[in-house]
Amino acid sequence: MDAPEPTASADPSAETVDLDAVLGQIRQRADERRRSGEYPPGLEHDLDVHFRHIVEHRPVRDLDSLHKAMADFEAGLTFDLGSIPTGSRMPGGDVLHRTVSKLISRQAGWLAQQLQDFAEAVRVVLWKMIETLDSPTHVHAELTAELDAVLDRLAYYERAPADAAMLGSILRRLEALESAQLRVAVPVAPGPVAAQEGAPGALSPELVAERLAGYEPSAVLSLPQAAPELAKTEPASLGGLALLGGLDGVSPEALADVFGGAAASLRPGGIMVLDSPGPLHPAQLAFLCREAGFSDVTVEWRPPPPAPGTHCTLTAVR
Amino acid sequence: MRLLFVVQRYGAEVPGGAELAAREFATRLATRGHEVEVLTSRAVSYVDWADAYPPGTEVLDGVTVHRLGVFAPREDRIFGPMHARVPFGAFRPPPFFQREWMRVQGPYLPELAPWLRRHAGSFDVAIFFTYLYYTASAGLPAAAGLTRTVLHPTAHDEPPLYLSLFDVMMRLPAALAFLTEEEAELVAERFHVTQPSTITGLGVDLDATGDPGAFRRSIPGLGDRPYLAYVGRVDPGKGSVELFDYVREYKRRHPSDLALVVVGDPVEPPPPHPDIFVAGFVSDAAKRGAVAGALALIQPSYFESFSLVLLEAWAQSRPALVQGRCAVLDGHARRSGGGIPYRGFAEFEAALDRLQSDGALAAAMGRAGRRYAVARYGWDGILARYEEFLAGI
Repeated sequence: MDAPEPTASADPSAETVDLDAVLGQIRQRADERRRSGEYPPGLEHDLDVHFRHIVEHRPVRDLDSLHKAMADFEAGLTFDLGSIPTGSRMPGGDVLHRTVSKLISRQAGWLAQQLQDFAEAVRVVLWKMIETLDSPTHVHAELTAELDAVLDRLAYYERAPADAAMLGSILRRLEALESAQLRVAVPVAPGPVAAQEGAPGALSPELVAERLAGYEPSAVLSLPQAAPELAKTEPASLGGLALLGGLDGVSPEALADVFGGAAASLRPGGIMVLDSPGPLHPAQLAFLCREAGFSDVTVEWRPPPPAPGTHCTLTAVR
Repeated sequence: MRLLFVVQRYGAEVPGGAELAAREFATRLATRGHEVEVLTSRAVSYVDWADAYPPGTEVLDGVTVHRLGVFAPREDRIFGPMHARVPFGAFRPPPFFQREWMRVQGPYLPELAPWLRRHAGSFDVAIFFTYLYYTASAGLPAAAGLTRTVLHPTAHDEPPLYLSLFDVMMRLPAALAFLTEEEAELVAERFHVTQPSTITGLGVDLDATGDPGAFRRSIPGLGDRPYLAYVGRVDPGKGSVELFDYVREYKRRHPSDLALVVVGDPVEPPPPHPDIFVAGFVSDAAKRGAVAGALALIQPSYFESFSLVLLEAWAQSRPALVQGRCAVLDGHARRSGGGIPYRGFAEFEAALDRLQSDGALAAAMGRAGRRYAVARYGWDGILARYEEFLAGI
C-alpha cells in the first residue's frame, strides 16, 4: 500500500471525523459481542492483566458497601399506617385495636408524615455525602491549602541563598528526629563501652567475643578486606561473623558485596555483627542486610544518645 | 539569550523521548541565534548510566555540551529492590529513603550541583528536562535563586509522581513547560503548582516521508501483507506485552494475512508468532517507511507525556489506534480525530475491524491527523512561542 502524498499546508475546507460517533459504534459492537457470548468467560479479564498490574498501585475508593447500605436504607423508607398490626390473641382484642387505630388515625397519620419527611431529608443529606466522597476532585481544601503553603515556603527557602543556613538546620533537625525515632524503637544493649581510637562506643574485642559466644566457628574480619576473605570461605561454614573498621568511604554497592558474602558464609541461624559509625543510615544498612538474605536485624546504640560519640552496632541473623 | 539545558542524557546516539525533546529544543534554539549550552552525563544507556561519551566539553550542532562523569554505574541488585519499595511499595517511604532512591536511580553526577552553583548565574535561563532523574532533583535546588529556571517535567501518571520527594522540587522552578494539556492538568492536580506555565508540545518534521516499499523489502516474509505498525521500545511499561496478547487473540479469532510489525529496541521481545515481525532498532528513514506502509500505527502505551511517534504517523497521514487509558493519547485522538482510543480487548477488536473494513474512514482519520499536526506542531510556531515564554519569565 502506498502512502498518500502529504499536503504542504492545512486544508481549510477539510472534512472532520466524528470520533464520538465512531467510538459509539465501536462500543456498541463490543457490547453486542459480549451479550451474544462471543467471548469465553474470563477472556477480557485475562487480557486486562497488564492494565491491572500497571494501575494496582493507584488507590481505589471502595464505596460499594456504602452504596449497598444506601440501597437497603432506601428500601425501608416507607411509613405505612396499614402496616401496624391489629391482631391480638385476646378475645375481642383485634376489634379493640382496630377501633383505637381509627380513633387516633389523624394523629398517627401526622406523626408518620413527619417521620417520612425527616427520613427523606436524611436520605438527601446521605446522598450528598456519598457524592462528595465519590467525587475524584474531593479534597479537604483547608488542609490542602495549609500543606501547599508549607511546601511553597520550603521551596522559597531553597531558592533564596541567604536562607540556606536556616534550611540546612531544618534538614539536620529532621535527620536527628528520624534517628531519634529509630532509637526509641531499639533496646539499648548493656555491656562495657570500650575505648578504641576516637570511637568510645565501638565494638571492643571483649564485646565481640561476648556477641559471638555460642556461634562457633566464628570469624572477625576488617571491613575493607572482608569481601575477598569471605569469597574464600566455604559456604554456610560460619556460625558468627564480626565486621569491624567502620563504613567511611564504603559505598552501598561495596557493602552489598560484603553482606552477600557474609550471608553465603554463615549457616542458617548464624549472626553477623557490624560496627557502623559511618555515614550510612542504620535503616539503610538494615535494608541492605535483609536484601542479602538476613532476617532479623537489630540496631543498638552505645552509649545511649544523646551522649557524644554514640556508636551504632548492627546484628543480623542469617 | 544564554540558555542552559540540563538533562540526564544528550547525544545523537541517545534514544528516549525526553532526551530527544531536549536536544531538539537546544539545537533549534541555537540555530535561531541563542547561545545554548547543555549540562549532562556521559551516558548513552539509561539502564546503568555508564560513562560512554568522553568527558569534558564538545560542540554538537552548534550547542556546547558539558559532560560530567557518573559516580558509578547503577547496579540493579541495589536499585531493583529500592525501586520496588520506594515508588511501588505499599507504605509511604521516609524522606531519607526517597532521597537515597533518587541518588541510586541516578544518574548520580557528584559534580552537577557544584558546576551549577559556579556557572548557572551566567545564563539567562536554566532549562531542566524530566522531573524523575537526579539531574533535575539535585540541579534545580542548586540553580534556583541563581538564575531563572524552567522545568519540563515530561510527567505521566506513574507511581514516582506521587512521592513526597517531588512536592518541593516541583515548586522550585520559576516556570513550567508541558508537552500536552493532559500533562499540565496532571501536574496541577497533583502538586497544586501556581508558577507561570506553557504548553509547548514538540515539533514534528511535517515534510519527512518514508519509503514503504523499501521497508517491506527489508522484512523477510512480510511481502504485501497489511500490517499494524508498532514503533517504540518493546517493554511492558509501553503496553507492548498487552499488545502482543491482543494481536494473538485477534488473529486467533480472525484468521487473515494482517500482521503486526514491531519497530524498536526489544527489551522484552515478543514470543515467536507467524503474524508478528520484529524489525528491531532501525534508522529514522526505515521507521518512517514502516509507518508509511502501515494500515495504522498502534500506540498501546499507558505512560506517555507526548508520543512523538503518534504525531510523526499523523504527519504521514496514517490513522492510529491508541491506548484509551492513557490520558495524553486519548486527548490527542479526540482533539485531532486521527486516532481511535480503545479500552480493553473488545474495543480494540471492534476498532481494528472498523479500520480494516472502512477505508474511507481510515483515510479521513489520516488526513485529520495530518491537519492536527500541521496546525499545532510545526517547529517554527513552537519555538517562537517558547522564546516569548522564556523572555517573559
